Amino acid sequence: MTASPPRLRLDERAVSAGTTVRFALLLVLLLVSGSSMIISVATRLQPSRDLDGFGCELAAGADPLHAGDLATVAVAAAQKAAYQSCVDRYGALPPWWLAAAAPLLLLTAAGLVFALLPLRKARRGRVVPLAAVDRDGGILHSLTELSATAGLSRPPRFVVDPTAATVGAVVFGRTGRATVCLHGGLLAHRTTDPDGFRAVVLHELAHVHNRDVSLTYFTVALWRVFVALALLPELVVTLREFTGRDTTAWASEAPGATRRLLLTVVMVALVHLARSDVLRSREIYADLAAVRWGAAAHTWAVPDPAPPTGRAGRAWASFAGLWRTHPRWDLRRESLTDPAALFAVRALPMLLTGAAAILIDVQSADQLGNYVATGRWARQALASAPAGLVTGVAGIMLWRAVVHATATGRPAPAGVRAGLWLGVGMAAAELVLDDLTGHRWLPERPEVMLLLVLAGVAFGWWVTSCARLWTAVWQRPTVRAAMLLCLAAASLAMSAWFFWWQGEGTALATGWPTNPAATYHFGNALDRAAPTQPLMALQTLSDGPVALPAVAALWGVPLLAWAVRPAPGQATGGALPSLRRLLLAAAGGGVLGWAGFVAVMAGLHGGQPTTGDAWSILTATYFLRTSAALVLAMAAAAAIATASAGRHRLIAAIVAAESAAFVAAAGMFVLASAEGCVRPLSVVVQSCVWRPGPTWSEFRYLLGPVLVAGAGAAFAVAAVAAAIRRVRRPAPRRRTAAGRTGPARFGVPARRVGIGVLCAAAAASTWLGPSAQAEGSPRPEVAPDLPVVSAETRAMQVTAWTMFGGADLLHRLIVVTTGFGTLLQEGNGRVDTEKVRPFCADIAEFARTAAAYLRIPDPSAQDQWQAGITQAEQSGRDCTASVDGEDGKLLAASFAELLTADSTLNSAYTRIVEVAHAGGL
Amino acid sequence: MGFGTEPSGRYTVPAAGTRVRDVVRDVVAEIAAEELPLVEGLTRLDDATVVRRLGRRRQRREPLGFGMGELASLATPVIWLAVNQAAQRFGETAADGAAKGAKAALRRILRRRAAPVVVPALTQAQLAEVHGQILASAAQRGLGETRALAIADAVVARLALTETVGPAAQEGV
Repeated sequence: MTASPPRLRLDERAVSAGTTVRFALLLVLLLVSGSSMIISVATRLQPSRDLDGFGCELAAGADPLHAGDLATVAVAAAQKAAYQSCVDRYGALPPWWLAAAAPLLLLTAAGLVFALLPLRKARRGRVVPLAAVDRDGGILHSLTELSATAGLSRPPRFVVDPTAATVGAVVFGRTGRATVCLHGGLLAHRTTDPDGFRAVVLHELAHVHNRDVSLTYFTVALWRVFVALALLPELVVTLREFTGRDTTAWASEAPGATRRLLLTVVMVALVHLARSDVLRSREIYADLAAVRWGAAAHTWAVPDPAPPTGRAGRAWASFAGLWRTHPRWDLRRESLTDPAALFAVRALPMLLTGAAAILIDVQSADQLGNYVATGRWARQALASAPAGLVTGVAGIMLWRAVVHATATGRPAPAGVRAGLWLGVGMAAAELVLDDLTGHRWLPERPEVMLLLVLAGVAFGWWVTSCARLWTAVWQRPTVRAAMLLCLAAASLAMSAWFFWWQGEGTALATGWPTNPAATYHFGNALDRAAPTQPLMALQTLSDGPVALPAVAALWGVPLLAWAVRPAPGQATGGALPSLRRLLLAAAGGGVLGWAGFVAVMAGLHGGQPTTGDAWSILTATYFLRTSAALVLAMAAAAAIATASAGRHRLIAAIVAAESAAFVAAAGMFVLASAEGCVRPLSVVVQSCVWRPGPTWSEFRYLLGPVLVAGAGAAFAVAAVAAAIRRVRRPAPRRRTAAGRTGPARFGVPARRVGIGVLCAAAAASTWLGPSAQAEGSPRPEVAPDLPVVSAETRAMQVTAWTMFGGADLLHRLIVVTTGFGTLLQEGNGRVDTEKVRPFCADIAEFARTAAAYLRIPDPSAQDQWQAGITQAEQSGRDCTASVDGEDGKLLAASFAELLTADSTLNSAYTRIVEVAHAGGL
Repeated sequence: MGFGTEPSGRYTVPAAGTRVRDVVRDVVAEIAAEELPLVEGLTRLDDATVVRRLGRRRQRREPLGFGMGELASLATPVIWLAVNQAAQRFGETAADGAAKGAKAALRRILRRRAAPVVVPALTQAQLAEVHGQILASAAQRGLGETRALAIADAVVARLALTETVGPAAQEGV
């Protein structure tokens, strides 16, 4: 029999606990979700002016009650300005002040409850002052001593609950003015078990010392306010929708209503589980502090209830344990000697964090997007909040696990499983929100949600890899600076990810094509050309304001680890993969990129077209293939680098891939600039001219998306390499964590110069900026053909068109025509031109407004409507000209034209009435 | 043994019988002196509150609370609840439950404290009943047999010293 070696122990304070940021995540979630529910309830309680949100969609010619969301969005988007104008006028958008007042209301009410909670807990009849039971002052003396032991400059207030028979205590109030309530059982126990008394009091003082009190009770206060002001009203209004539903629209409304109901359940579960999880870890921190201050560890020898037998019983006990705010006693006892539980990365907090991040991201964007956050930077700023919080929570957890594993010699987690749970949480949260699904149960393309899971995996893997890299070289007593550096990079990446997901990702999941022109058969030949769609998709990757800085940080921050001066006796960067090998891999990839580019040029040589469209298509093909060559070169560099990087393979892959991009791009740039000089390779330039300027503008357009796509390729290559390694597990032999490290060839100065050059390249890449197209003018709106619908739906559409703007326009026309006619009639041949001029302006304005409004969802009526508008435009022009030229005949003609326009437009209306009748309305 | 006085001096001393809290204090001082601070605290509350809250089976689980579980050897709740029950059953106010409830509600609204509950002098049969009650209650709360017997004996001994008053106490069997 052999004795197991003593387990190394890491002080739980060695790395930031990260619980404050977990509380912050909960508070932000409650605030955002609560505000969202308040606004939603207020909006739904208003009398609907927009047929429950369908009015403008019907008026635009969509069929929201039967067709999919994509078709509805497509029809609405084809008349974006007119549709938006309809929604602005008739839609149920709540007033801006409500969006501002809702969070303020929640915060104020929570502040009030927070202030009242300690008063309620310490009210007369519930507790008694300590002095009432401490005639000789002996208890107070002990408590004052214990407060000094806990390092509290100002002891908390002590009260007694004599009716509580437990040997316990509880702290409440706020950190600066905490109240510790001693239970009657504890006081009775004091003389018979002074160790127990000391342990309980020190544990409560540890909560004060650890600043748990304010955070815990503010979370409790905000939760109660959230339930009272947001959750219950939301539940009532949603249930009312279920009971008093309109059967016509219910099929379309049921998914949304069900999801709203589900969201209330999810919020309750999420907040309870997350809060209990944080509190359980805070309990262990308080236990450890109490023991450090001299509490007897044997006090924790409290038996747990007997574990249940049977699988179901154990599963239930495990599930019930997730909801408790206190850990099991056996875990608490174990943590006193080995606080490994505080460093573990568990699935539940990761899942909850992912879900909370998406709930915050989507709901805050919905809430503020309608009022302030419409620009790119504003949207990016909104995305930064959940990104920062999710990185703070999940990133610190992963870092703690790595530091603990490194210090105690245990295997470090890979971060993939943790990231998987994070991603699953994000994907699950999307399913209870409306932004992907609209009127459907599932998104049009549910498979796109896998991207959320992959993003979580990538996050977990990268953060863990970065932590492993830095802890391998870090020499200082605490890893705080290195951790902050890595987490800042991860936060930037998550921020870029949330921006992309909110814009492109959700559009992709809802089924919106990257290139609508190709799907709906409008636009020019280039729009419909095969290379356009992938090229446009590629372009979206670097459209976000921080997409390129994020990529630069993902490889720049780990790269800095090679510049750290080694510990005495250790080779430079000895614990890391060889930097020289990484650079060689990058060079190899770069050379492959040149070869690929030569192949692209040779392949396209000789196909110089003559027409403009064909020329554009050739250019698009050239760009797409060049981008592909660059990404493949980066992937090749990543593959070479992973071969010798051991457990640091992900970082090695990204660094090599991104470095290779610059090597490849440099060579390609030279080749492209001198394109016409090598005849077999000329594609668009025939003469031998050195043209670096135009080439740079092309490369600037290409490089940004390529750097993002190449980073993705590096992740994929590293994943494949890791999978291969798992399958072909080598014979067990001791290897260093870094794989083949070997002696370093470069000294510190040379290494730092090299890293400086690469970091400068990374920094410079962030200036590549978004493509010209992203900032360019919007595409002209071109309407797709009206979808074929039933007579009933067509009737609803034309009626909606009349209700939502059409009737108003006709009324305006009648007012103008009548007024103008009266003026001419009363003038009896002599009319004051200044009195005519306003009518001319009104006619012209009517024509402009009518032309800008939604087209009538009936082709025949629309033709007449358009003809009437043209006649009104002519009337307005003639009217103005007649006044300017004091031409009476022209004035009479303009009035005649107005009457014609009136007649034509009324014919359109007659047709609308016919269509409505035909559909049973 | 005489009637106890409260620190606040606000209670009316009854003409006959013994206040429950005085019985509890005397018994606890005799058999569980370490629990006297707890009794001191309880006497700051009115009887209804004490009985309601001592009678709770389960303590609320507070966030940031720390407890080693229920104290098995705590005598005070057993004594207070048993003596209070005797006072309720054998005392003269046992019959007018509805009126008492209304008064208690009014007092709570006006934040006025009720007069302490008084336990009358008990007959031998009643004392025997109280003895049995304490043994059962102590067993339910996990106290050992010897300890339960000591508590029951002490309570009965203390109650036996209470002056005999009026026919109500005699007829309450």
